This record gives sequence, C-alpha cells and structure tokens, in this order.
Amino acid sequence: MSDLPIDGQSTALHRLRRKSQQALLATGQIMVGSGQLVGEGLLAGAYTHVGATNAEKQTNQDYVLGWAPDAVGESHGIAMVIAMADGVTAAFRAEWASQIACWTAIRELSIRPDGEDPRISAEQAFLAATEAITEIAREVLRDQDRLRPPGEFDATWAYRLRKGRLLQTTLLLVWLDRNTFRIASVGDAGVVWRAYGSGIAPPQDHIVAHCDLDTCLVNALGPFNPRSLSLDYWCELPRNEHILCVFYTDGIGRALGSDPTSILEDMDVLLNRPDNFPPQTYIERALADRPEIHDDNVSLAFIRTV
Amino acid sequence: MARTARQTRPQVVCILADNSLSMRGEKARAATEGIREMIMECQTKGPPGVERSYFTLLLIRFSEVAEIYPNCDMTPVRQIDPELVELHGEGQRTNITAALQLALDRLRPYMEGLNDHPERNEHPLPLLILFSDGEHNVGGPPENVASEIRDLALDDDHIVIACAGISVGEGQPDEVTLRAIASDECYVHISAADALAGFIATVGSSGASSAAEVSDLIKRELMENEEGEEDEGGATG
Repeated sequence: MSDLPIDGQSTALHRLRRKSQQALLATGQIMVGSGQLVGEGLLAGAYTHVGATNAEKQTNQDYVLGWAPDAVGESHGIAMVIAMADGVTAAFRAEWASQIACWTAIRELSIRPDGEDPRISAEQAFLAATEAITEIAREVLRDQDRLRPPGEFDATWAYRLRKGRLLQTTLLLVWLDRNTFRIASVGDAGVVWRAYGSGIAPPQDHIVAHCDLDTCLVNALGPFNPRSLSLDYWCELPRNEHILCVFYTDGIGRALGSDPTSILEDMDVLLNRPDNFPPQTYIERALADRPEIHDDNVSLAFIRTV
Repeated sequence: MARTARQTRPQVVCILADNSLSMRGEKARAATEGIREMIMECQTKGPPGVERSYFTLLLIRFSEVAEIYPNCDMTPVRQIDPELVELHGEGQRTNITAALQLALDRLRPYMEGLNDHPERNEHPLPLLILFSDGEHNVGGPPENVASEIRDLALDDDHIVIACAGISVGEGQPDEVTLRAIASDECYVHISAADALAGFIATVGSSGASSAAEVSDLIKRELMENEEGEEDEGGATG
C-alpha cells in the first residue's frame, strides 16, 4: 500500500499497524474485529458493532483484536491475548487510537522478555500503545490542515489541539500466560468471569471490572501522556478450573446496569447452542430489544477454556 | 435519571452579557474570552459532525436595551464561529430586566415543547448565566422576571440561573439584586478578569441542569482561583 498521504488519512497509523500486523502474523493467527480464535485449550470470540441505528455515533470507535501464537514456547507462555479498546467520543479520530492501541499493545506483550513481572509487561504494553498514539498525534500536529475535521472552525481546531482532545481511548488486555489469566485495563471496559465447579455445584460468577454508572467520565490513554502509567484494573486468575471470561465495552456495560454478571448466564446458554455465534447473537438481540439504551458502539468478547 | 446532553437532546445555554459602558476594556475582553472558550468547549463535546451539536446558544447582550447576538438565537454551537463573538462594553445604562424578559420570551415556548420530547426524562434543562458589573438602573425590577424563568420546569426540575457580580477595576455590582435573581447558591462575586472568563467557560460548558451541580462548579472554580492567587503570592513573596 502506498505511503503517500491521503486527505484525512494517517500514514503513521497505517505504518504502525502494518509493523505490528506483520510481526503478529509471522508467529500466530489473528482475529480482527469480529471472529473466532482457537488457542491451546482455549476458544475465544468477539463481535463489535457501531450500535443501534439511532446511535450517537456513525463510526465504530471500538476495536477488538486477538492473537494466538502458533506454538506456545517454553520461553514465552502466552497462549492467547485479546485486546479491546473504546475510543473516547469527544476525541478527534478516537477510532485511530483504539485501533493502534490494540495492535501495539498485543505486539509489545508478545515480545516482552521471559520471566518479567507480568504486571510490568502489561504496563509496558500500555506505554507502547501510548507512544504509538503519540506518534500519530505528532503527525496530526505537523499536518493540521490536511487532517482537521470537515467544517470545524479555525479557532475550535486550534483549541482542540491545545487541549489535547484527540486520539484518546480506553484499553483492555486479557490473556492467558503460563496457566494464569491476566487482565489489565485503563478505562471503563467491563470484565466478568464464571468458574464452573465440579459435579453439581453451581458456577460462581465474579466481577473484575465494570463501568461507573454514575459518570460518563473515563480514564483513557492519549497522546503525550507521562511515562508513568496507572492501570485502573489488574487481576490474575489461576487457570485451575473451567472458566468463562466475558468482557465488553461500556456500550454493553451501561445497559447491564448494576448486575453485569447476568451476561455470563446469557453467554453460557448461547455457547451451548451450536447454531449461532454467541457474541453476535447477544448483541443483535440487545440492539433489537433495547435500541435506546444501546446508543453507543458495542463490543463483546469471551475466552473459554475447553 | 441524569439529564445529559446528546445530539438528540442538546442543552440550551443562555448567556446574558452586560454590555454597558462600564464593562469596556478588561472586563469586556474577559467576557469575550469566556464566551468563546465556552463555545469551543461545547463544540468539542460529542461525536464528529457539524450537525451533532450537544449544545445550543442563546446569547443576549444588554445595556439600556437587550438584543440577541447575531447567529446566537438558540443556534447549535457547531454553527457558531467563536471568533465572531465579541463584546465591547458600549451601552449607556444597565437594563437587566430587558435581558431576562428576552430570555423568558424564548425559554417559555421552548420548555412547553420539551413536555412532548421523547427523551424528556433525560433532556437537560436550559442553563442561564448572567453577569454584570453594575446596578440595574432602567426598567422595572428584574427579580420578578427572574422568578418567572426559575418557575419554568420539566417534571419538577427547574431552570437554573447562575449570576456573577463583577468588581474588576471601577464600579461595584448590585449584589443584592443579582443574588435575588440567581438560583440557590448560584451567585458568585468575581474580582479578577480571568476568573470571569473561567466562570463563563466552565459553567456554560458543564452540561449541568440542577442548582446543586452549578453550585458545586462555582465552589470548585472559586477554590481553584484562590489557589492560583496563593501560588502567585508565594512566588513573589
């Protein structure tokens, strides 16, 4: 693909994405947006949608990316990783940020040194995402006239750049590494998981993260962030039992309200049906049943041990 | 349910700007800067698209008469060029009543229309911001008209009026009248020009619909301004 700039398009985004894509494809299989991914003892799937037809947004600023290595090596224990990002609505080109954050974070996670503290690996992945976003922001600043939003007044565009209202996104990483599920998040993505007991014992549901229903304010990655990074959520779950992990952007989360674990039962039922793709079925039903409450981009993913 | 602005339910922000002669110079510049910043802040909220404003602006300037600023008559903010808004401070007298009456004439039918809005439960209420540096000295008393505006309600939620009395340089505001016009705890005394700009920009772009929200904003702005003054004092002390 040509590297010549096209009006309104970012060459930095294209270059950075291609770099990560080539690296990940060389060592495993990828899932971009909606689809399924199979790893060692794992099944994953994701579906993303712009939202109800009357939705606030006409662009899907959510992004989902999955990667499973061809071989889980002795030196690197990652069996699968899924990244999910939600661009901040008011940020210019938030969809660029969500996209490059996923690609860069997974790429960085895949090359972290063996034996490193997993939390540090996660933080480095988030920092790499921030640096990639910053590189795109520098392009925007250099090329303001070509990249400014159509119809925006001069003063407002200058104000937006001055205030840093561009390229902001949440980011969630969920991965299995050496028999431990690890979850790292900046922002308001939701994560719930179900542990299946043995015999007739009922499954136990847990909440790792959920959006704050009392506010629309959200922590997010953005350009020119300081080098130090603070995760909103960090969690490690031992893979010593049958687990279903479900995660989603706040377009789903806000509709779940104060009982996000309800989605686990719904997904469990759908996963036991052979004739559907569960995250897509769930989202299509949600949009049909309650379009007014799903007025945002919606993304849903799961990882299940098999 | 929280009242929040969206493109399907934008918030009306009504600014009543004292444009009398005593406002000329530093105060008019600060008011201009505040209104422009408010417009730009409002313009950057929400998804991209000129047609997707989360706010509409009703800007009324007043001295002895009140008039709606050109292209700011309940206009979606993304249709307003902020650089075309400018106050100079050039009228002879101060008629707050005329400004409030003009706002009431616009807001009363607007509020009646909201009763039939499909998102009435979440629809933000108009937010009215008034600032003045002097005394109301022409026309009938403004408190009565202000009371009529505050009585406008949607499902028992009433329109909020925030007032700023400005004492920068010469002149003193009529605090008694302005406090009577303002909703509960929504009056602020401003003694620095940059604080006026900050008040207009912050409150006007907040999306707040209740007196409690506006009051909290005003208190936070005051605290930040006081901390800024202390820092400056420390640097030079």
